[in-house]
Amino acid sequence: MTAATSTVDAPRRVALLGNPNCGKTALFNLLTGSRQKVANYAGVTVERKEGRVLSPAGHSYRVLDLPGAYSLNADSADEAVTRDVLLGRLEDEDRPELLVCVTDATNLRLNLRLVLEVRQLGIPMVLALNMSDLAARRGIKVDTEKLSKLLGVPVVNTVGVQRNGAEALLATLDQMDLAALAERAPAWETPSLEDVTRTHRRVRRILAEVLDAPDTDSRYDEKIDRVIMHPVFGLLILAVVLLLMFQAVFSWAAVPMGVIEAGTGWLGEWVSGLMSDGPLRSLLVDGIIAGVGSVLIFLPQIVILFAFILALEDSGYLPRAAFLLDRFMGKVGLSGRSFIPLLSSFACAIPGIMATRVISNSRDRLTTIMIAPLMTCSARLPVYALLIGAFIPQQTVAGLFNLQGLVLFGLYVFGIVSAMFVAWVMQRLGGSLAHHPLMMELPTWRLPNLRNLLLGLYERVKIFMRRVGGIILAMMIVLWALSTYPAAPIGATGPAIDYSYAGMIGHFIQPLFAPLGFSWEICVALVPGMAAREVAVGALATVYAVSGGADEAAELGSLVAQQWSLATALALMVWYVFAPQCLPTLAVIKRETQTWRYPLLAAGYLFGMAWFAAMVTYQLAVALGAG
Amino acid sequence: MLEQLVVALIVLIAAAYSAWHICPASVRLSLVKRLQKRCQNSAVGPFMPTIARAAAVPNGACAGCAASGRCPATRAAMARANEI
Repeated sequence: MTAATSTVDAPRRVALLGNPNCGKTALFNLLTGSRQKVANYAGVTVERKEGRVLSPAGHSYRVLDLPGAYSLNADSADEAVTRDVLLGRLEDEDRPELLVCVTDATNLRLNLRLVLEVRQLGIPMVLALNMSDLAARRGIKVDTEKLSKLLGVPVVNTVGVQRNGAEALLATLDQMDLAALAERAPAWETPSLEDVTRTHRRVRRILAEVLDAPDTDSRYDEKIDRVIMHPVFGLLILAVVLLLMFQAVFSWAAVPMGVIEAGTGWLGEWVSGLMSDGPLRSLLVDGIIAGVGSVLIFLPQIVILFAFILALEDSGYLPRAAFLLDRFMGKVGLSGRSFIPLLSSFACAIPGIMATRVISNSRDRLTTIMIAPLMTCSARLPVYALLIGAFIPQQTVAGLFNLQGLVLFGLYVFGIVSAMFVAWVMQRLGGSLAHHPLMMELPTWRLPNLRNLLLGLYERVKIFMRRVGGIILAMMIVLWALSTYPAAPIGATGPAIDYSYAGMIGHFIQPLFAPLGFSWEICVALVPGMAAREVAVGALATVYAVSGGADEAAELGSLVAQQWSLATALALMVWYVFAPQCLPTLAVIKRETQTWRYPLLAAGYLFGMAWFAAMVTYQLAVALGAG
Repeated sequence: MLEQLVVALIVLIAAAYSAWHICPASVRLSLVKRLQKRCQNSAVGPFMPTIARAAAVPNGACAGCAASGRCPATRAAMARANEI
């Protein structure tokens, strides 16, 4: 592969690289106006990402955001992406013409090793001292002129989270001379131990000349960490933080949920009053408004949950939680590196499974992929919230905790414990229960950045609204048609929906789920739930609306509370802890493992566990009088 | 009668969209490729490249996420779409 020299028309190819968690993605977002996910921990970016920027001087740049790496000597799949892009080894990726080596100005000792290694490739490079504001606040002074002279590359201060934080960087890029770019791909050899030691020595020499930093022992970080990372108090604090989060999901969301519910109800009545009785009115009121409205109502809870997760992420708390939980993960044979992929799976299993690329051990990676669907993704929240709202009374426990929030917390914990159990079985079957110690760079504590928080929330709301307005809306319309047609024959005695296609499908599947206490309506809802789990809630709303009339459209919670037993509701909640019905997740497992064996295995074991656990829950609950 | 027709049309569009959305990108692309041969000289012909590019975009649960559009699988699918 040869590198092309930039012309006025052709955009210059710039790659951002650096250690994990030095702020590359924040800088990338700032430069390109993108909204890639950023977080205050390592391993968020596992693929190269691309964006464009036009500099004030009129140059066009194609900016690549590469996964973080400590060295070009790749230890995991994500680090290999960075190395291969720089060396021009990727077939569909031209070698970058310019490099921006991003460093954390508060941690130059670690960051400069990569800079020195990359410098040897001979690609024109700019060194960005990112988080320079934080370094200044901590009294860290870097002599940028001297550093530039010692390294032989331009050095600029940047602040990835400030609006004008990258102006100096763009100005420097505009002045770079690309003629120095070699025509052939850069040579690189795996460094020997002697090379590594020499690099360390050189870093120390450079820092002695350019760095003026106060004694680090007095930093607030270490004082806070002494409490937060305490083996006993730390775990207690973690439990309180998570409990508070789930309490807030129910307590704070009540008012906005009520507004959405009232709005949906009003819209249904208004449309009913406006149109005469007929299939179009039924489609709009029973299919679209009832179905879509019943899912939309959970938006406030999703926003609150993610506001907490994003704030914890940005503050630097989550990697510390990983260290606290590493002891338990180690007991089931999982590497500490599994924590970030599993954490991502609470939003959606798909990015979580993709994030397993940071795990270098293939057995650990496979185990993490297989258990990622057990983490409670946000699509399950509407199902849990519906059932908890309908069956669990709103009462206070121990004068402090909301019972509904406690049940939600319990469901999340149940998912985690089940995942650990499956991991233990898998690692034991594979004969590997050895504990791999967690090596992870702890980020500095900081107040969550409002811009990152709002961007993250905006992304989540956008994803949810796209799903509501896209696949959920479409499937509600299809389900309405299946629940309405064919019409009941003349002289039929049962409800019309019993004679519809949906009724037939539901009655056909129901015997399989009878030991779980699921009615045929629940069985119908499970089928479209395979495309997206929250569709199950909309499907239930549509089925009940078609069978019960428009009045019941906006009151799904009270309707299921009347029609189902507590045992059925508990069994359905447990079913959804394991629920294998998410086709996109299975597809991504196939893509990441390059074989159908593992998605089939995942679907099989998840279905088996879901069926068995829901059956035991139902039968136990019936035996205890909840049937 | 007109009302029945409108409802049937809405349901058909929703069913087609659902099927399109659930299908993996590779299946959609091969379908578009087969269609292309038949529709080359029809009115749909000029729109086939656009349809192919839309078929290559993943529609999974994280489809709306800004991070999902640049994965290697998507790039490979896009390269195949560009052949059409």
